[in-house]
Amino acid sequence: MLFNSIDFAIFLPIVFTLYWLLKVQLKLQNLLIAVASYVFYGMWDWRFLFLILFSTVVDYTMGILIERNDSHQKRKLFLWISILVNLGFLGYFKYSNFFLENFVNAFSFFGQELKFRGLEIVLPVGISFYTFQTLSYTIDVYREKLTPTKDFIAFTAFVSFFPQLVAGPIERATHLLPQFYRKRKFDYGLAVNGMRQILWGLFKKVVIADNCAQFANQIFNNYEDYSGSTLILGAVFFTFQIYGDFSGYSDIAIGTSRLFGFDLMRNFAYPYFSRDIAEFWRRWHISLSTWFRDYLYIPLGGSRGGTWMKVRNTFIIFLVSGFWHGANWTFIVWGALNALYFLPLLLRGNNRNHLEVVAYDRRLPSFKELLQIGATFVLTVFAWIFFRAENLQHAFNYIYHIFSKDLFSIPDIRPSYLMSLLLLVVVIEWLGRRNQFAIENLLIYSKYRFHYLFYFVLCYLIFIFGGQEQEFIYFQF
Amino acid sequence: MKKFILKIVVFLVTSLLVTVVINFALNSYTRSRSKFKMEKQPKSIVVGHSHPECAFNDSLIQDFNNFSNSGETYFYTYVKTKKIILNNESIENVFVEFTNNNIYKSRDSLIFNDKNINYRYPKLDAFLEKKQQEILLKNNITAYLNALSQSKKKQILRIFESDFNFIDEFGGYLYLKRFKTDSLLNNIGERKNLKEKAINSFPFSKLDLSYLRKIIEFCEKNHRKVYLIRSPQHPRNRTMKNEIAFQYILHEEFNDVEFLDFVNFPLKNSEYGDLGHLNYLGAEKFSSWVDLLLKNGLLRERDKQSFINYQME
Repeated sequence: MLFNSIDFAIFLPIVFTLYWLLKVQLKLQNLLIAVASYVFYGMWDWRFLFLILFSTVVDYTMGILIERNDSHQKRKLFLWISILVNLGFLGYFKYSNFFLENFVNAFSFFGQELKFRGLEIVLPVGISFYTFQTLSYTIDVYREKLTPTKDFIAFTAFVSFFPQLVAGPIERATHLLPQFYRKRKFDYGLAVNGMRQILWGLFKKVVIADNCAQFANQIFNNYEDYSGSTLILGAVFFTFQIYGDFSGYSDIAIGTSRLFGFDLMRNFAYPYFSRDIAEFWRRWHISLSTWFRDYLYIPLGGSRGGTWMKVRNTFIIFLVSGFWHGANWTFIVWGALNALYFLPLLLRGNNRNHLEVVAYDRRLPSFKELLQIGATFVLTVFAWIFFRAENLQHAFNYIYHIFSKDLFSIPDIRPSYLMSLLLLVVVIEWLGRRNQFAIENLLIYSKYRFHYLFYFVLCYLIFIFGGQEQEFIYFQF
Repeated sequence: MKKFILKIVVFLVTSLLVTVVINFALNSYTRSRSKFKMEKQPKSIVVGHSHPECAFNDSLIQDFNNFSNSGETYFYTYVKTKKIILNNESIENVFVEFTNNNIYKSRDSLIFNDKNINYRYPKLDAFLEKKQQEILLKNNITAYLNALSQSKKKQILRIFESDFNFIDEFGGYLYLKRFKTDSLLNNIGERKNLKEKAINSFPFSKLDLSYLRKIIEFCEKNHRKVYLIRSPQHPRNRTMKNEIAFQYILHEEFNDVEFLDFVNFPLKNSEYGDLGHLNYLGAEKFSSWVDLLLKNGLLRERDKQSFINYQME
């Protein structure tokens, strides 16, 4: 079920009403969340519900077994069972064809011709997200940061929690699971805030991402026919598409969770206003970056060792992060490129220069900040070309065509309405950059209740741009 | 909680009402600004689905415009024809395709299938009659709402771009570069025992044919001469098997309108794109012939079909 579908518009009020009718019974509320989440997921493909259920049972059991055993060896064994089961599923469904194909290619390189027939595997929606979420549970239990739950229903609801099941934010068990034990009380302010965030998320997805997608796809799919300037515009459209799509999903997920009294972690914090790549990565897909930081970077030694260790760990994190997105060399190159961007900052110790959002106590950025934002944006746009391309050949050809003789010509495609919408989003995000999401406090203190008019305009734009339901990009990951 | 739900409901209801008002305003603004005037002022136009779309190359026929469009049902043709006629006084004759596949009940469901609504509604929304809007809403609410949103987007973009020219989106001659006739004939083999269904059990279109009637009445009311025509088809086209039912409908329902039958126009297999459509070679041959036919005074003849048959020989 898509967030931007009529099905979800019917599903959400029903679950919301039932949920708060059951407010006296915490267990029943959790059960309702679990059942609703399975319905939500099952509407894509009910067969994969068994996969989630199996993963839930394994991690629930391993959590208890880790706690019950004092022997270090046994605790480690149970942790590894959980890791292998989860990563095994992920590896099989997502990466088996990639490894097989590259294995065959490697043989061909050495003169041994092998025939490759890809396995017909359907990728379960959101497998990378819930796999990482459940892994965080067993790892934290193993690290004794978390007491394993004995409440199977609460655990099932935690693993399958529908607002963030298929595209995050990837929650830490230490943050989300305890919320299932606590009695939830309807909080008017939280719910209204949640509705605002849902509205803004839908706007970014339906109006911005889906419209950018139309032109980005057209340009990327026919790049040979367009001028260099148009190809740049295509990459910029994709840059906004992926932001609108993914941050839009996260906003809807966080907003929906608030309606049910849950607090999910923030996933985006105005990444395109970053002044360097290190800041960008603190603001983009925060739940994944911090996951890798906590469960991979730090165990590898983090930045405690020498320079070589820092460089190695940085590359590992970025390459794995790229590979997490998909079984394609384009994602790996995208990760490597970001590592290269990041490296100079790390080596010069400048990677934590900008912790606060730009111009926090000012209305406008300084000229220097504007240049920094522009430079970071250009680097990001360039890297997204690899992310969007079908394969490396496509990416390199695309870049080659950018630097053609008509690089400085007027773009062949100039959708003025879309440019205006992008400008609108940039302005709104700038105005709201100190908040959790852009429209959190926008106009709400206005004398004449302009915020209702503003919400209506957003709703109307969603209505007119929402005729065709488009899947979220990150579902494929 | 009550306060929250109440606020949401009030906001949604208010938004819905304002949306309806905006939609009405957009429709009336679009109607007031829309342009249907043609630069060249033709005396005759042809409307219909893909058969005339591929058959009449209007660049080869004097004072003639093709407004046909693939898969179009009379339900939508009616709206188009009205706007074209009312805005182009030069038009004297309206040729409406009426062929074997127009009589099937499936034409009714074609009006409101997802693809058709999504494609046609956004172009014609502002000009549809209230009754037509109700029909679409009643028969496919999901597609209707999707198409409604597409339509409003299109209307807003038109305002944004100051582009109110609709006439160019109403169809035209389709240059079909296809040569599939021989391979299709090899595949269908010999036709086996094509039994006609009994007329009383034949699945006739009701809704769509009622709009054909409306087209005829509208043309007559506005003093335009209307003709039903049948474009050339390959004799072994599958839809030709309902010929008895077709003739029945033609004579029972539309005997007050002159019918010009070109179905037997002699063409080689290589001049058909497939069994139902002429390719560009066929269209060139047929259109040049139609041009001559009109110049030779077809429309002044009393027995037009005999004149056509004579010219075809």
